[in-house]
Amino acid sequence: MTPLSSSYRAALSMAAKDALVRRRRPQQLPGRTVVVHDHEISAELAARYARMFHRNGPVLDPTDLPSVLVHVASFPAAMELMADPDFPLPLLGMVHLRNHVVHHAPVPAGTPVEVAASATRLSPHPSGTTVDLVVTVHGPARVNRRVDDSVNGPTGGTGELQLLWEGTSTYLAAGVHLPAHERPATAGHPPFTAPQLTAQWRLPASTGREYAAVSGDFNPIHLNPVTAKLLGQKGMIAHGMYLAGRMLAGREPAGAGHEWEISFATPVLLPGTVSLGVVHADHCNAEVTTEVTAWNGRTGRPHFTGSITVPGSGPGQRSGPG
Amino acid sequence: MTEKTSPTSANISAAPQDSPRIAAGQPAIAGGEVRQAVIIGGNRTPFARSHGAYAQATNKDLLTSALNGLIARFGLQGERIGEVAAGAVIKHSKDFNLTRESVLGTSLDPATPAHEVQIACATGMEAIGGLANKIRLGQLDSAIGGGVDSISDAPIVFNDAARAVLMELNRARTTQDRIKAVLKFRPGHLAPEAPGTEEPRTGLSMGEHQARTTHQWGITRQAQDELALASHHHLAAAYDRGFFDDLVTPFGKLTRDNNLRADTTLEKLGKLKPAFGRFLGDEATMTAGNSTPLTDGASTVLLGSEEWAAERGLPVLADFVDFETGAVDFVDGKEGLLMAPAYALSRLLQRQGLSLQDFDYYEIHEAFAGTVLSTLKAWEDEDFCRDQLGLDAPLGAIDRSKLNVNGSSLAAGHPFAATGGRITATLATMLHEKGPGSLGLISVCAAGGQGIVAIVRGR
Repeated sequence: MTPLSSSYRAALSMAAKDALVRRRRPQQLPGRTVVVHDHEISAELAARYARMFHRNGPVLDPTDLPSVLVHVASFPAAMELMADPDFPLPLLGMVHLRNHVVHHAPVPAGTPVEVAASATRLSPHPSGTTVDLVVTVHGPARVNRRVDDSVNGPTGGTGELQLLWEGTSTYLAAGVHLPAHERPATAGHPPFTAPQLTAQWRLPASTGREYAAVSGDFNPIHLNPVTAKLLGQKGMIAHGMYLAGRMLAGREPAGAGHEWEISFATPVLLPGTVSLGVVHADHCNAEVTTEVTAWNGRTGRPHFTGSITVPGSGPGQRSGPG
Repeated sequence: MTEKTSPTSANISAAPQDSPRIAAGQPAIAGGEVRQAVIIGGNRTPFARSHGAYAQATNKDLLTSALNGLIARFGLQGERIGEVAAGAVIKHSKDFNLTRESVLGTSLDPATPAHEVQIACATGMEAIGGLANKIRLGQLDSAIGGGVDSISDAPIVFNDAARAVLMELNRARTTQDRIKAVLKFRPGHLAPEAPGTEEPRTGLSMGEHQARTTHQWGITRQAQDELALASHHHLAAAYDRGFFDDLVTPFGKLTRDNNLRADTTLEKLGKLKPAFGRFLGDEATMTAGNSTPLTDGASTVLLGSEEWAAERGLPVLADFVDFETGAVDFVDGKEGLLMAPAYALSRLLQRQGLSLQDFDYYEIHEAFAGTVLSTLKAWEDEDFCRDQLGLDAPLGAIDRSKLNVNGSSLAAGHPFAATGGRITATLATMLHEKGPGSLGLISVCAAGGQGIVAIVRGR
């Protein structure tokens, strides 16, 4: 897979070139799907990822990798699409708005998986245009695991690939308005009221550099306050997916089958302290949803909201023989 | 192995009444009767606010001093004590055998074994309770339990990144490898990490956790300040009438706990700004005055069997009756961090067939005034007792004139692991003064959502 750094380099030179020749990007999404066969997430990368959250996360199970690590390992396929000169939105300056992941089954380290990335839903947004990057990870079906037939259809013998993980990342190209689209009115933000404080993250200045070293996302806005300011940020900011990883650390069920979502509001400046409120809501159908809200305790502005839904531990699910 | 010492299988498996072969006085662990574990006395250093009077003293200095005072009080020089158990919540890794090293620095027989205990602020209680159980089972005839803590002697460690480089350097076998490792040093590696009082899973300090609990239980600023005031006045009065003469041995320049403010008033306490729960805005109530400060100090308690005490002509203050440890799910705020004793107490009372009102004295550790008041309010609360403790009726209110009558941590300070020993020795002395059969209750909350409650009976 193309490393993220070369995607960024390509995008940077393309942006410069576009500016010089006043090239107009195409108005449609590329129809193609980037597929990477036999992609392996190394146990070494998994170990480095787990070390970032070792104080809160569970002991790493190499046969059942954390959701955000799967994102880290598979997202370069989507970047390849976004860095393409024919992608309708410029990669540089894109803002990460939202992530939604359905983690159907465990993704193992050191096992070939198939990664596919496509772009959908090019949509107008009050401040620009949004796009969804959908990444799927398929792997060998595991016979001994509970398989969700409604998602995969009946799985047969060995050799068939099963959908293990699918993630949708929504990005906003701020200030880019496609002529074919009508610009929607700016929706007024409802006033944010912080929930009850249950935790606090103290993020040191090195947070962005540490996550970059693991994820390969060396976007300068995360690495150094000077480069971040040059790129229009108020200062060095945390990677959105670092925040997602930290939110999920210790909260993902063994054996997967969960679904999670995170929506970003304002960036987390580094170094910084994030206030968090966690609420558990039990659904009647035995699912358990954990709602996480993060905000700046000083300014009272929201950083992100997220939720994790895990299959319930009601009778007949975990208990019983075998 | 000799015939005499190898136990027969009957000794191990049979109950006492079925086994005529068990001689009188056989230890309970070998089939005999369970016996009483008695509290003979205690000794502690005065407690000092951290980075003050004991800034130069180490954990070992403090614990050794507390042990020496105990040895002197009870003439234990050269005595082989069955076991010494103590601990420190914050200690250097080089102090892995802190208690044994301290014992070796005293005049106790060097054949006295020692071990470390650690359950945060309840360390002293666990040390004493575990030893009492061994005495009851006949495994020990005598024991010393206690604890020590010194924030002034806290270990400062390199951060994880620096440690990784140092470890690599340590593993390097060739000059080339060593150079490679050294080149990985970065300026940021020099930033040391001091131990915090933050809960690792939430990143919130204990005070921030308690601020939420205090708020949820609707505990007022006034009620907290009144409890703090009472603690200072009670402790000062106890010192003045010589109550601590048998319990405290001077250390350094201190003869009394230097956090004690005998002349404090509600007015002075009322002027302090909130220190915790700033997220609550105007509703923040916890100040430096109604929260315990970080403190240095050590405490010890001498335990034994009745026979052991009688043979040496030692006093018997009280029986250590029973203790129970609790834990709560605090991580996402389902329960307050320091509320575990509220749960443990219900089980302990049930086991001993007692009600909350059966006690002559209550020693509830004042981590924060809010902790004591939230716990008391929970025991009075019908919903809490029904939904959380599974009881038909609330445990009820206590007679507040029996609570912390000789002061507690708000006045004395709270060197984490030393608090259990302070409370146990203080309560045993009070119960002995009260008379045989009087009952005392101890409740100590601890980090990690844990806590220990214990029952002591006067002799």
